[in-house]
Amino acid sequence: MRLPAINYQQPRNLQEALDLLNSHGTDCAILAGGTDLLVRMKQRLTTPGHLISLKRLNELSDIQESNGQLRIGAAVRLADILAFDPVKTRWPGLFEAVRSVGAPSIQHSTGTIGGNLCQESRCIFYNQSDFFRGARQTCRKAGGETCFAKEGGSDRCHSAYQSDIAPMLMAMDTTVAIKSKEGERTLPISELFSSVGEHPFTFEDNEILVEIRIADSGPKSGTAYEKLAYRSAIDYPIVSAGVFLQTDGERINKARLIIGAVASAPLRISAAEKILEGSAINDKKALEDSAKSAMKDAEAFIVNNMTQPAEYRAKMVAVVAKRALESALSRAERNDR
Amino acid sequence: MNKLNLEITINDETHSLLVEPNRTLLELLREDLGLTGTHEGCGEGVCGSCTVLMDGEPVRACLTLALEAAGSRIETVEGLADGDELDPLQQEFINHGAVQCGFCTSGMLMSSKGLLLKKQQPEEKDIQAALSGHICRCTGYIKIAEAVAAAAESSSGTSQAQIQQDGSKIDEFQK
Repeated sequence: MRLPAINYQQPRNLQEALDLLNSHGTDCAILAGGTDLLVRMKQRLTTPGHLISLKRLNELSDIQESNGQLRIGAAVRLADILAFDPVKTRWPGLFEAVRSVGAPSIQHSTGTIGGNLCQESRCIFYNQSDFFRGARQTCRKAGGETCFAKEGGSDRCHSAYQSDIAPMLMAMDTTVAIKSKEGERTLPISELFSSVGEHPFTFEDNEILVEIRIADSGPKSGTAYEKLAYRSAIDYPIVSAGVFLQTDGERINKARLIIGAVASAPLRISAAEKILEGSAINDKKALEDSAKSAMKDAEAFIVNNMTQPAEYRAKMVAVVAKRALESALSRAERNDR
Repeated sequence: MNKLNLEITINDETHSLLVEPNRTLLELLREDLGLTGTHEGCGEGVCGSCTVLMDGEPVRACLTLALEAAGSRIETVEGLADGDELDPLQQEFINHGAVQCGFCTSGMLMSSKGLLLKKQQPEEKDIQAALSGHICRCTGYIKIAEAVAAAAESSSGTSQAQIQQDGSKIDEFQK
């Protein structure tokens, strides 16, 4: 498959990149690792006139920890996150999420964290070659009027956002910094997502994600990420769960459970958090009940947009949620920092 | 489309080329330079056949713009052998029957090479992780993983004689 014709620009610093973004507007795309964008271009799912390469920028490639806060530049490669020791020791859930992306020989040395977060939502009827899609009507995601993922059609797009890293970051206290020519703004990562399948992100065409900031996780806290996929490498998650738990040694003080790959944005399960917060750390039933509540919440969003049946994926939400909760809890118990 | 200048080192040879921005590294290697040892399987980053080393790290040539490789050192399967002498990896692939149809082999070799450059004595799980992004539809991976382990043994500075003196190492390897 060939790439469509493009103009290619390599800005030397962030300011130049922002100027280019501003002048090209909707007709351009930011090229970081390219492992998502170039496939989409080959399939003619997107045909930007201009590519703005981040290759020569070094402002977005820093990863550092200070005062317990972790700051990751948007263009930091996944391999560099895995190699950064504090991530493995202090944010094991993030380590698991990053490690589970793609495969070492592809995403890890090429893919970036910003690219992973800004990947487009996916659907088995949409992420196909031009030829394949040409046999049917155009779906909503591609600008048409129909949706094949929902039986009987739908008035909106039901694509799934399948980033591995986003659910984990949402479970932790994460803010993201976005820049445009006018300046910088920061927002909680949950506000990055619109929950609209056709356009899953809230940022504007002239904006660029520059940094991910993860707050100190605090003592007696634990993080965990669980992913279900048919292949351990390459595959996107069928369902996934990111968990943050904080205890006082006896009870769970704070809980966050985020389910990934079921909706057009990572899905926060407030019902599960209500069950968990205040319950004793050895309360097995609370874990079971919160995992079940995740399944109930997620069920409403899951449609047949992957090769696996929706019913199976809904059941598996409870399984991955429980695994992630158990893993995060045992880490919280061991973490007496 | 305007063609742009590209300086690139491929298998220790520096090229100065004019390329179109939508040219992938894979197209550059195969079509412009005639290095057809790097194969195109899926063209979407799923199969791993087109893997080459960019500054020592495995990358998908099908998902790398040629211009993004500017200034980099690229190594392809053609650069592995030293004249008539095969790289230990190539030799062990032959010894272990790790090649059947051969389509995935150049990608497997390059990812394995990338691993051995980083870690001279990889554990089994390192080998499995390094090859996890590759698809082989013939051999079933076991022979390939064994060939990489054997190549690591033979090229990690430990000569065959030394291995034989050290019985424990042989036992460990045979497990």
